[in-house]
Amino acid sequence: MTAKARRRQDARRAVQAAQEPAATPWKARVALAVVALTALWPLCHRALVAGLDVNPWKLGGFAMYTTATPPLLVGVFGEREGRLAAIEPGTLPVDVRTLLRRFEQERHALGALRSPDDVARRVLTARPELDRVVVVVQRMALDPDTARMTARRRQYAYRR
Amino acid sequence: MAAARATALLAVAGGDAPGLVHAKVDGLRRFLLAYGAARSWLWLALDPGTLPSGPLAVSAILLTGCAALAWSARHAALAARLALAVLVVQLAWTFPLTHNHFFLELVAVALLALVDRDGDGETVALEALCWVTALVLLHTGLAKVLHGLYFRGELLAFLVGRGGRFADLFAWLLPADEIARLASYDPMRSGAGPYRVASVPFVVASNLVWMLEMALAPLLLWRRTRPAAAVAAIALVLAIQLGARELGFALLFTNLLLLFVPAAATRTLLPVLGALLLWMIVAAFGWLPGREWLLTGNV
Repeated sequence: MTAKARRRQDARRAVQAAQEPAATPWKARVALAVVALTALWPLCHRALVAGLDVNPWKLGGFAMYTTATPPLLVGVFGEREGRLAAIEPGTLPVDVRTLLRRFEQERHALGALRSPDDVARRVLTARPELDRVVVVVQRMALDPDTARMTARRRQYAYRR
Repeated sequence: MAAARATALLAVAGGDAPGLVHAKVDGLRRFLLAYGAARSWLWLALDPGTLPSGPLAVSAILLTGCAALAWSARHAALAARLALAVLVVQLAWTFPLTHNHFFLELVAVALLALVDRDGDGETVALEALCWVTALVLLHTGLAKVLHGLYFRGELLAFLVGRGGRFADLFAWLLPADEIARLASYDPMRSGAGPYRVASVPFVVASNLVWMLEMALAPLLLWRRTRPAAAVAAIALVLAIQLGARELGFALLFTNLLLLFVPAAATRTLLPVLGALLLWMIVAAFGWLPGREWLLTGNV
């Protein structure tokens, strides 16, 4: 069979398949919607990764093994009488420590979509002597231009 | 009219005879539901404490029941729908830390849930599954291009430097002193690097990964090249995913790629796949050797 004849046969098959009353119409629409979502979501996901530091390995973007994702560094600092000092997580109540751990995991996946507001609020409640709480989030990234690690830091400050 | 257009577009990935469509859908359903059950037991055995063990055990039991129901012609369609409900609950538990291959499993089961007991929806489901598989392959390659860390092998060099799963796959392409240099960098220190290597075979291998992923995706859809592209894609996926010990993704994606071969390959392979899943569960609980190996991988 020549290439032209084969192409004609393929086209005929596609038309036949389109004309077959096989599946209920809504099923074809749902299936196509799922296919469209699979086609488009990774592109939206890429925009979230670029703009909001979302983890490429998470949220179904199929971008595993595309970037280095070392562990996130999260530091909590408290200000008292104008002096800022690091708060050792071990000194916080258990529920705040649990929340902080959960924040670290969720932040690692969601990037800037996960703010530390709830963590800071709980730290301020647990430490009434503090005037201000600062949460610093640092993520290391591999820079494609230099092939070296760079630190991306974001700071969140909360007044009582 | 819209439905006819949707059907025509989906049919690009189709073309199998109705008997083969049924055999492929049936085989994949049996595998996927068994895979979902095995994955849930493995989560329970290998990740205790990450999820509440009571509800997770209940979901594992339910998915095991669905896997058993998939073998009954009368109940197979219902099994996929029940499994979909359980998977949605598991997604809610694990979100946002959910693994990417779980999303793929969820999408595949959702498409299988479109199939009725009388077989209505089988063709549409199979065609959509083929599209999804080709698109995922395309996106895995495209994402590597967009992040720009494969052109000179930067990411693979980083992974080799970190040791672990991926290193075994590519480290043999590098001289020992290069590996030692990459391993000496502390990735938590700003400025660490450069994660670049002089080895040409290493850089070629790095670029071949995304090139093959992106090239094979359209070739899977084109009927003439489909079987050859499926074999090549399976070889690529098994080499990379098994090398990286991404067991879950390797099993799942290989069986999705088998949909492109002109035979009901998954159904034929079910005894082997079933034995493998069973061994994984038994080993994960420590009743057979292999727990340590499973712990180093990703299921």
